[in-house]
Amino acid sequence: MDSDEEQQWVPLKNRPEWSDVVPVEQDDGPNPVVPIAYKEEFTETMNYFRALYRADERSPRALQLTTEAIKLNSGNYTVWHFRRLILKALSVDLQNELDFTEDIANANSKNYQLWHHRRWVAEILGTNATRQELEFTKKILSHDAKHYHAWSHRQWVLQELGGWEDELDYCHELLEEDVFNNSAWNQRNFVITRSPFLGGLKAMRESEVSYTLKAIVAHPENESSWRYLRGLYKNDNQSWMKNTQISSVCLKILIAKTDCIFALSTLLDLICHGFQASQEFRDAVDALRNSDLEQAESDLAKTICSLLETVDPIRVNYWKWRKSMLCQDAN
Amino acid sequence: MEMEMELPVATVTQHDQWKVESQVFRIYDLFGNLPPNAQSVMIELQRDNHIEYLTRGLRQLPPSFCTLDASRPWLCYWILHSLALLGESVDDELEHNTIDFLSRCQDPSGGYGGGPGQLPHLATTYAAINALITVGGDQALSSINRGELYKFLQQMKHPSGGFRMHDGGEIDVRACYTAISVASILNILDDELVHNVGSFILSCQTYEGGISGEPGSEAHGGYTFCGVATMILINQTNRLDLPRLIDWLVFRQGKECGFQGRTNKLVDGCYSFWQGGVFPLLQRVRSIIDEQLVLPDAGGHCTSSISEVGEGFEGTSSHVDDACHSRQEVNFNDIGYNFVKRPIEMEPLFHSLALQQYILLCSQEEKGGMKDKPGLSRDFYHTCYCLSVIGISRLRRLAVNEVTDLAIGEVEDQPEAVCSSYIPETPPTIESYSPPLFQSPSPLSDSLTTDSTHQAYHTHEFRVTPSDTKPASPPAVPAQSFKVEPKVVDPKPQVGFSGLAGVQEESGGATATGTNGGGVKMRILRANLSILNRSRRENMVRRALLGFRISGFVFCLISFSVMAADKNQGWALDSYYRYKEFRYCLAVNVIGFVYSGLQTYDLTYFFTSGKHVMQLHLRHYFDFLMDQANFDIPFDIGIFIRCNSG
Repeated sequence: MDSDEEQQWVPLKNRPEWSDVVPVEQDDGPNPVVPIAYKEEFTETMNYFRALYRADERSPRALQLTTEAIKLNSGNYTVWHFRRLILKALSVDLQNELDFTEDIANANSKNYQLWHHRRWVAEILGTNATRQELEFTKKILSHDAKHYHAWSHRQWVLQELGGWEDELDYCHELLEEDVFNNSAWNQRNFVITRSPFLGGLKAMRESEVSYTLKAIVAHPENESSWRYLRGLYKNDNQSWMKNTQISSVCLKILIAKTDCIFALSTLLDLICHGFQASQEFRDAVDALRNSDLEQAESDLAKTICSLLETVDPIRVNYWKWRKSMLCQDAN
Repeated sequence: MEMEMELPVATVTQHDQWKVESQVFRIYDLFGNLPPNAQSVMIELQRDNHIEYLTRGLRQLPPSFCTLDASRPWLCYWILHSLALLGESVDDELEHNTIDFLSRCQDPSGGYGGGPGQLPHLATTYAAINALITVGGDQALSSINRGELYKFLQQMKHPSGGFRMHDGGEIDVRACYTAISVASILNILDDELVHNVGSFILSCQTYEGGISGEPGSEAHGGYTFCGVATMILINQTNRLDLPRLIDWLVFRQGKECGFQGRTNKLVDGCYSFWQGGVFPLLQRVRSIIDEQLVLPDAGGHCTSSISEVGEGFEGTSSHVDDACHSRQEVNFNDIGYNFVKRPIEMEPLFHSLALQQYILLCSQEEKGGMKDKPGLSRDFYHTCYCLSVIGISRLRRLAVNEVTDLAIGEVEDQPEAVCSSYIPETPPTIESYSPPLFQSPSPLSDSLTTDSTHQAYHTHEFRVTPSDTKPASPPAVPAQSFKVEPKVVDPKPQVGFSGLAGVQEESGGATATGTNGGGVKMRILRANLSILNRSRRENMVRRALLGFRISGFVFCLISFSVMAADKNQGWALDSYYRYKEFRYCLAVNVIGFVYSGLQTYDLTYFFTSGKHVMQLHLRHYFDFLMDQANFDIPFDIGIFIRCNSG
């Protein structure tokens, strides 16, 4: 495979259109550290790139050379940067750029430069690119639903170019597929707080709370949905604490006795924010306790912390600390 | 849960998670069933192998590294910082070569690029500066052009408050951190650079509690470290909602014992630094956390005045614009330096022993180097960030188990030790951040160009010796404890750790149900507990081996001469050459002779340089095979003689 490619590749020094260019070697010094044993193709392409970059030659052949250089190392931001300068100077059809970045993404999509370039192109194309950009990110996300760069790009497209209409449905679709996909929950939060069509967080809160509670009841071990629920009340802890739906879902999960770490932790937070737990809650928590292991605490919040120290041992230091902070509050 | 696992309803997240869990728990199971001495070998830090892997990388890299051709200062930083963490330094020549190479990456108009002649970039600037500070000394420090660097930082500053990574580059939390930390450590941080950075970071704290790369994105370990560290360096930590941040952070450590980067993502050794490294920072801002906890509904909106660094500097409310900061007389360059000197005010909130277990058993490559998770391969990025964290973990353990000796915890748990770089996704392919947030602000020499008043030098900070500027040489700190500790550790290093009992039970992939705390006891051993004893024993064995090899060599020589001298005599008074057996015997003898000679040479070389002539993982098999073959020689000779005399 390799030898085939090498055969196909014609060294630049053998190409007549490059005969006027004097390649510039990399100035690595006599004894460089971290020296890379570059392949011949890499060295030569970069030598010619340096020559054009230094001469600031913004020509079609320079554009072609950046294509080759980027294919050899898509992390070289200098090459990408120079490519943008050339594109601006040549005023070429930027549609080709979208195809080019897609090619690069197919090889390796986890790369800052590629996405930054794509954003630059889409910004110039404007709303013409909206649909295409949403489709492109969707395609990437269909392979990797948590792709950080793809989500960032998609959010940028929505904010700058629009296309919000179907976004909540898209989030729902992804959550149906994988309710543990935290990126989809994050996007859902993004949509309900920023979409110009939905009226903002407060308008959406009620329906979102019931949507999320359903997801929580189905999978009480899913941290994503619990965090999303809490996020619906960002900067409004009082409404959160007073919502009886939330506390009763906690109670329900505690009574079921499985996967209750997040229910316990939520109940603890509720109490810290002034929630007055009824006897039912105390009984449910007591029923989870292994009386041999934990001392009975008069205070429900402390009991919960002690219980969490046992059922969630990896966070034992955290729960101990939370308990100690409760004491401070009392003082 | 068992039931559910059998149903075909597992989502992608669950499927991937269970797969990794089963891999990790298989290793822990295996470990748990080993006898104690085998356990101690398995959990040992392969210090020598790591050093060799790192040093080799500094000298030469294979063609596959072409994809990191725009990240070469990063490679320098990862390697040098790792070596420093191991208490090792490179020789003068390599130091000199490093300084020379990085100077070639420095742009004449400020900042460092990913290689000679490349555009200056904030991330590689950060890596280069920290690599140079790790090397230390006048030559290294005076090679940094601070005046031009300041101008470069100014050019990267964006009106939003954030920074661009390079000319026309992306704006995100990485850029803020790399710019601010570099400016802080070089004493060129001022109001202009700080302006609105805090607001930008604040806009990236998500509903989950962690920090994202850009406003609206998902909370992520790498950006969380960058964000928190930046807020500390600009004295605006109180603007973050710390209780929510901590709650998110502690939940990133999973039952695999390592950290994940985001909610419901897979564990990865490097996040032990990005997530785990935030804890030592938080341990120094206890008063702010306390205040936010006492007034839970004011979280992130503290209106009272908070003195973070003892500067008498007024805390700000998030309603007040950053402008209020600039009106204050604050020397930003003191903040980082004073911060690292602060005492640790609380216990770590993560499970440091468990983390250490993950790193040593799941991230460590026996032949040297560290990796993301079992099944993946090592790289310098993961080596750097996994090693960084062993530093904090073991120190933390000291503090936990020897609570009385607070001084130890305090002296050793310098967060600088934890610093590293950060690459949010698939590290080897992109630039990352490595942060000695905590290096001391200005160990620079007078020879540096200074072009404005904001470059106030702290004369008392110029010393770069490890003893008095811990912050400046973070690495050396934990490394020292590695070397010293085994002497004081008692011969029973295992620590019964029932905390992970639940882990064992849950290995089927189910989540914690556990009110019942029983289960298999998991033992966690102290790292490198017996490095010294073991290497002493190994040395003795090697010396004996050398003796045997030499005698083998001599014997072969003797038998060779005997046979060669026998030419004209023999049974029936004719030449042995007539017999095939003789030739065969002679050939075997020659092989044995050459082989013993080579082995002797290799061992001697090993004693002098600590390295084998050939580094092959099949070495041991080769040795075994050849030794077996050689073992045959006497029999052959015996047979030959019997033939002759028969």
